[in-house]
Amino acid sequence: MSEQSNERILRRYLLADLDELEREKIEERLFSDEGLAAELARAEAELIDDYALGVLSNRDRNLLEENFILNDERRQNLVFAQAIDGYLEEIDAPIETQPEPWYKRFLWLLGTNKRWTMAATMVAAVIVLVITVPIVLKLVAPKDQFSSLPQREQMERRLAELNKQTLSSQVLPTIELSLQPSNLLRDVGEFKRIEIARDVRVLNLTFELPNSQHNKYILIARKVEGDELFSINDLSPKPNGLLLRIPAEFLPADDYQFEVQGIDAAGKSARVAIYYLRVLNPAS
Amino acid sequence: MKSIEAYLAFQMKTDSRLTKTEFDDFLIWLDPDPDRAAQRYEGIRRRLIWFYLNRQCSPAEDLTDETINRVARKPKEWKENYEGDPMPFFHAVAKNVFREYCRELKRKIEPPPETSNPELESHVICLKECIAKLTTESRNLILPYYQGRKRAKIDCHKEMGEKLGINPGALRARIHRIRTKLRECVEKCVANQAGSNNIGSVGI
Repeated sequence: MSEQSNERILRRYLLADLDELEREKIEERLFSDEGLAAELARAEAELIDDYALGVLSNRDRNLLEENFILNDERRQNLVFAQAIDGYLEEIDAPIETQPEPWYKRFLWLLGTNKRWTMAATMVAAVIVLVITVPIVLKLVAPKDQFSSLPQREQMERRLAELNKQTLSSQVLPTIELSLQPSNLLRDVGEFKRIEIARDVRVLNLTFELPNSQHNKYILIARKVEGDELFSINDLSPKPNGLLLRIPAEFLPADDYQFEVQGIDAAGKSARVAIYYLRVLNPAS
Repeated sequence: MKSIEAYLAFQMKTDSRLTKTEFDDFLIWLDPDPDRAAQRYEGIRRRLIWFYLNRQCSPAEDLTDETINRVARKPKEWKENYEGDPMPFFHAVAKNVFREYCRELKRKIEPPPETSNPELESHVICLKECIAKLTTESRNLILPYYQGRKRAKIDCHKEMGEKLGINPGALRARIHRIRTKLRECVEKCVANQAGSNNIGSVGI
């Protein structure tokens, strides 16, 4: 398991966001592996930092408030992290030294070059690059109006846009797939497998719902190691389940877990079902 | 009300402290070397607290003490005949303690404090003192780390590690050590401030 995914699983453990089996696995390791306690202590401190600095996702923030601040020690650690946040807001000048702008370094380079032909060649090369690279990138990359946003936010906005469109307005090549809820045990056999051809742009997924009577649902997509990718709120059920359109590029070859939570009349959410999907590289 | 009654019942049932002999025997069982035994004890305690907090048991410390007491009260002969690492045994006992008491004790302490409270202000004042006492090297690690983190760069370890030529794991460990020292300094300073308003003796 990579350090990053280990860190994410520990974070989910701290937020009490693992199922019984996963929690048991972590605790067995915790009570037998000396090193894991140190890792968990670091993960705990970083989780508190992220909460105090306001960079947790809404879901994690809610989980932390609900499941985490349960003793004085954690509360004290939170006050410490909030003090750090307050201190950072007080200090105006950034501590990191800013790198010199590229054009200043370029002008300096030109200034040190006495041979004008060399300088002219360099200028010409830079002009060609400046003109051609954006054009090539624009031709190759799909249009993305959200490119300046953080990755997760970009994904969630694109999903919202895509799912607002009516089915008939979709002109992109798509794949239809229906997913059945899994029990909580993770066997390889429970993964629904799918191979996505290179020209497919959108997956039309139907999440079949168990006997659940909710008007609204939340769907959370994760890699199976626990790395949360995106979540979508306010999904209304259709007769055959929850329908969701996902850009194929959001799900490169890997193993994924989708968690569906139902929202009750009081606005509280509870897990309704888990689905597993294995995306395979297309056969060449 | 039900949870308070259950908690009181739990306290009555478990209010039996260890004798000094029982506790000494227990530490020797953990490790014949007193320093290592104390470290083992702290490690076990920390793990048990995580175990109970993960199950939303707010009296996690009490339940941890009860778990340790139950193991410590095992007869000396039992301990002498026990084979293997004692740590997993604590896990098994904790599961029993949880089953017996915890389900009814879901009780939360205060919600997270607001950022404007006086407690926070005294922490910020002390933090400034403590940051000033850090070595330049430590300060140049911890502040950019927090600044990076605040800009939603959860992976700032990687970025900083590359810049400093340290692997991200080592950097995390180093930052955690500085954070721990800084927090200890702030806690001492806040306690001193509350007592005598004197922070001159606090060092890192």
